[in-house]
Amino acid sequence: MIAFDSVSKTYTSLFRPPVRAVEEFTLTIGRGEIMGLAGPNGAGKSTLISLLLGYLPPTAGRVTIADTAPRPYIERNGIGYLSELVTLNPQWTLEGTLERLAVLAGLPAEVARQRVEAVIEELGIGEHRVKKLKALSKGNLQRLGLAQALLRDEQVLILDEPTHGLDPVWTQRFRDLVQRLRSPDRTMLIASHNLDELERLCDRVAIIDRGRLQRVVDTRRTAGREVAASYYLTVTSGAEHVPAVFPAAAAIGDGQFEVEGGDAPTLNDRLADLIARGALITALVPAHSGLEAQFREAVRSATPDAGGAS
Amino acid sequence: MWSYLAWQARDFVTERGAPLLIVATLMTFPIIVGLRQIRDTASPVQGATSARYAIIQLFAEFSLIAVLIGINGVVSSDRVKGYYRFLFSKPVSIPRYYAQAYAVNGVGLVVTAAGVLGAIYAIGYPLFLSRALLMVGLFYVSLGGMGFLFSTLARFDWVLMGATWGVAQLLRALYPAEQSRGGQVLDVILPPFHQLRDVGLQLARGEAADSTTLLWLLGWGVSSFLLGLIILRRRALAT
Repeated sequence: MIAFDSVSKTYTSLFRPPVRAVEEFTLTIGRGEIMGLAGPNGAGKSTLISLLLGYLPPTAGRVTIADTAPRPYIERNGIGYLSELVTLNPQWTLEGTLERLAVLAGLPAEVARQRVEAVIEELGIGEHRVKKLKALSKGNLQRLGLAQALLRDEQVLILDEPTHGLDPVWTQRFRDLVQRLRSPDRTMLIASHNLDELERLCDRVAIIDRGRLQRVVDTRRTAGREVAASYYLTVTSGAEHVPAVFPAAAAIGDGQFEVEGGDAPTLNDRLADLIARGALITALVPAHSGLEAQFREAVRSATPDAGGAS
Repeated sequence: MWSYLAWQARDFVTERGAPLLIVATLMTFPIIVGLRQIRDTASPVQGATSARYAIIQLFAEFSLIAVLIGINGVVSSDRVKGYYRFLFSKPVSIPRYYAQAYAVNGVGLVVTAAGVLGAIYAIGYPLFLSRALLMVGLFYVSLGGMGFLFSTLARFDWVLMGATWGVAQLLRALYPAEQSRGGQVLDVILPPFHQLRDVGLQLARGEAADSTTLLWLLGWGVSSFLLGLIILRRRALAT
């Protein structure tokens, strides 16, 4: 459905040296798939999204949606898009913004009214409908951004940092919403710094750094598959035995340590040993998710200092 | 897209209405005061002649300022502020969206000018000089077309517009068309806005305007507008 084929983007300026934001990026996102996009700040995520929306031309390579260049596809079909920053006229009211964007999206007047009401209800922003955008909190602005992306039943959704500014309740509701939107005909791309969120929502996650695709993690395979690389271990007594049992343990304080994971039998033997020495364990939590570990490894290997590929 | 016209008209009123109203009031108020005196003291024939002259002079200045207010940032404002990111994720043609905005702003300016004439008629002198609207239309098509083009090219389109106007004036002064072959070439190449006021005044007075100059002015505006549309089709909105 969405294809980046050897895409590169270099920003040029008269007064500054060229900046290579994306290099030789190749990725295909299938119809019905939810793809995550993760990377450190400045990795090239926003550039990739601008390329996908046709707001930037690639310096080399080709971007397509349903085998069509982005702008012709969008002008014919539209896409649901939430930008990282909700940049809309601060003088517009929330309801007026949704109404005008629904009209712009080509919805007939009656349908537009119904859809506006539906998304206002879905995103819980009814009490703010007459407020100007400049008076909305970051979270409500973000919900408005989501609401306008859902005005039409789009086949492609691109969400850039969708939970940025949302409180925990609405973060969870957003996750439920994404699950409801999952459909064999709908393709979603979610860019986020929140790896836990990407791991929960996405089928695959593309990790980029310095404009290059470092790896694509299939989260359906990694979920709950293996012992974590490290854990947070909390004990209420016997803390002095932890370093003897877990040689690489790092004390965090208040009876909490970050300890190495290893394989499952070793981990269990060590825990049994610790209990036998008189420690009382109250919590054992994975320190990093599978995706997070892959992310760290991918980004580390992309750093020239680490001796990996750049 | 047609149904979005109403929203673009509303944007014209909310974003450009206040500055236009201020300019119109400041420029029209002294004229209205003068016209009231003429109405009360002069004979009908003398009064109509004086009123016609005053209104045409007013519109020669007002048209220029109104067009600059009406066209400034028509494209560049959305780009600078990033609104385009949301607008054009919808199934919308970018050139068509801005062509429609250009048309709406033009109609808005003519309606505003008609409002100024109406105010003069109601409280100044009972003369509605509808031909003055032709001058506003001419200014908008010719100067506004170029403003549209600049707005597709640069963030500070009004600076570019002012610079182009100034450079054209300077080059014409340095190399007069009647003195050298180079001056004649320059005269053809440079935007003909030095003719704008004269042709506008002719239209407003109901005199036969020089058709070549009129077409030259309109041609510059329409060509600039069309070039702007091509740029919108081919050039990316993000930078």
